[in-house]
Amino acid sequence: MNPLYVELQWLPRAPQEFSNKLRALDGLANPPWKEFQALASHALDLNQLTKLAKSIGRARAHLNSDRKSSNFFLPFRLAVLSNSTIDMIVPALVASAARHGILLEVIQPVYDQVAQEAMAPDSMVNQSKPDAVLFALDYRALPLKFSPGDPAVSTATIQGAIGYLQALRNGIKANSNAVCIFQTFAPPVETLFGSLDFALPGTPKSLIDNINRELAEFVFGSGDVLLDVAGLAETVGLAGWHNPQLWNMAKFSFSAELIPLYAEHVARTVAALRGKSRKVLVLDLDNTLWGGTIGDDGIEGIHIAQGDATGEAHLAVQRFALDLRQRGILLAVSSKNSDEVARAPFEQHPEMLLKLEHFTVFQANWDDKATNIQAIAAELSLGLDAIVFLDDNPVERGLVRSLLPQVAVPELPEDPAFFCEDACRSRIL
Amino acid sequence: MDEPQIYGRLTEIFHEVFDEDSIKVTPQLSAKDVDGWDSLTHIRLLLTIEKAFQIKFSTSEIGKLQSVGDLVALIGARG
Repeated sequence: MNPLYVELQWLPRAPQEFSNKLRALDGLANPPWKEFQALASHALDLNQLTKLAKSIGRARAHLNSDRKSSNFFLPFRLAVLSNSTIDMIVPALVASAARHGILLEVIQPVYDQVAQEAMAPDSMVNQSKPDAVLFALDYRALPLKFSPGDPAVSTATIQGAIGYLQALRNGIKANSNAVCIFQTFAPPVETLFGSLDFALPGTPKSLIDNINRELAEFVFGSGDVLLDVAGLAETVGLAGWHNPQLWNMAKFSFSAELIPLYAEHVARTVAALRGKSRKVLVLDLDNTLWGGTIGDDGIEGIHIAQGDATGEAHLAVQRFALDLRQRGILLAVSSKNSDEVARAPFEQHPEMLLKLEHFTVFQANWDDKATNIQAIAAELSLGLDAIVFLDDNPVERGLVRSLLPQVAVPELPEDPAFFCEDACRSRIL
Repeated sequence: MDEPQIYGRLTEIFHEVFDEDSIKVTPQLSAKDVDGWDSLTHIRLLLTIEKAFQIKFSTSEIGKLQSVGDLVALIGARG
């Protein structure tokens, strides 16, 4: 499977001394939320996520006596209903939520009681009045009747599955009125008819495809939230997503290796529900928006031209920034150049996609980037947690991360050809 | 890898998975001897071991494991 996703490569690697750093945070008088967030903001494996979640849990247990310390994180109560074993996922959710400034409390009812928990007014889930309910269901939870080649039965099966999900939703809405997060379904890898499975009605693939489509429509229409797990599984590869051995042994929906990735996506959803979505992309210039340094190479020397491999890579980053701007994200520049030199390519280079007018703030000076980013935040009247900072230079990235842990600083690879894939698909924005 | 090396690596893994540096990894060590070694931690332990040694255990192999000694034999047999 692609390590970019399995290892969350847009996040910096965990420090060697992770366990010791975490232990040092235990038992402090004032819960170290900022330090928890800093630690969470690395790529953590299942063991690390589990440990971090335990520490956060211990700190949280002290909270009821000291409400003040919870101001750093926004609280969120998430109930998780599943037909599978989620015990290993729950700590990963708590630790990943910390990455996004959320103090997550997970309500986890008894295994495989999805319908009972959703529909009974006195169920643990409904009584707990969660902020949201995550229906972490996989295809095995659906009442699927395979009827290859039979469109009538196929349609009835699809409607039946959607009806089931709607009944679950209605149960929650009637009893606790929580936001419902529904997942699309990753189809099984095995096909009965090879390629024909995609075309014939009533095959697992065709049924699940149609169910996902209808689910998306009904969720959008109802104002609830969709988590595209099918898309995630497709991205990493269905064959790697599924793990029959783990299902047989312990009823895990998907490969445990992907729990950190899955938890990150749930955490992003929860953070977005709390309004914590990033709104500003601060861009470095040299070797980020073009190849080379404008100060040394001049307008003729920098690489942005189409047909030049390096130039193409950087143009892709510009295109990505423009697409984000279309979506409403603000663009800003933070560059270590004089203002005049930094503006030159935007004003004079014919191949530049980005123009000066696309930027809300343009900071080109010799100050350090952390200072500039704070100035940008202040000028836009936004918190540091609204900002994503893109810079090819690992030293600059490290500096901003350590001084301003609330700013998201995706890790970028050496080769600009992968900047877009890494930064863009990290979906920080 | 020889046995002492396997035990050395396993010791690191046990400390990491259980977050407990005092665990002594001996051939007789089994789930009843370690706090928190339940069925789920067992799975996390096996997954960590598979990744560290770049091997995969079969379902039946996992089913037969009774102690660390069995585990070491399995890892050793993989070469």
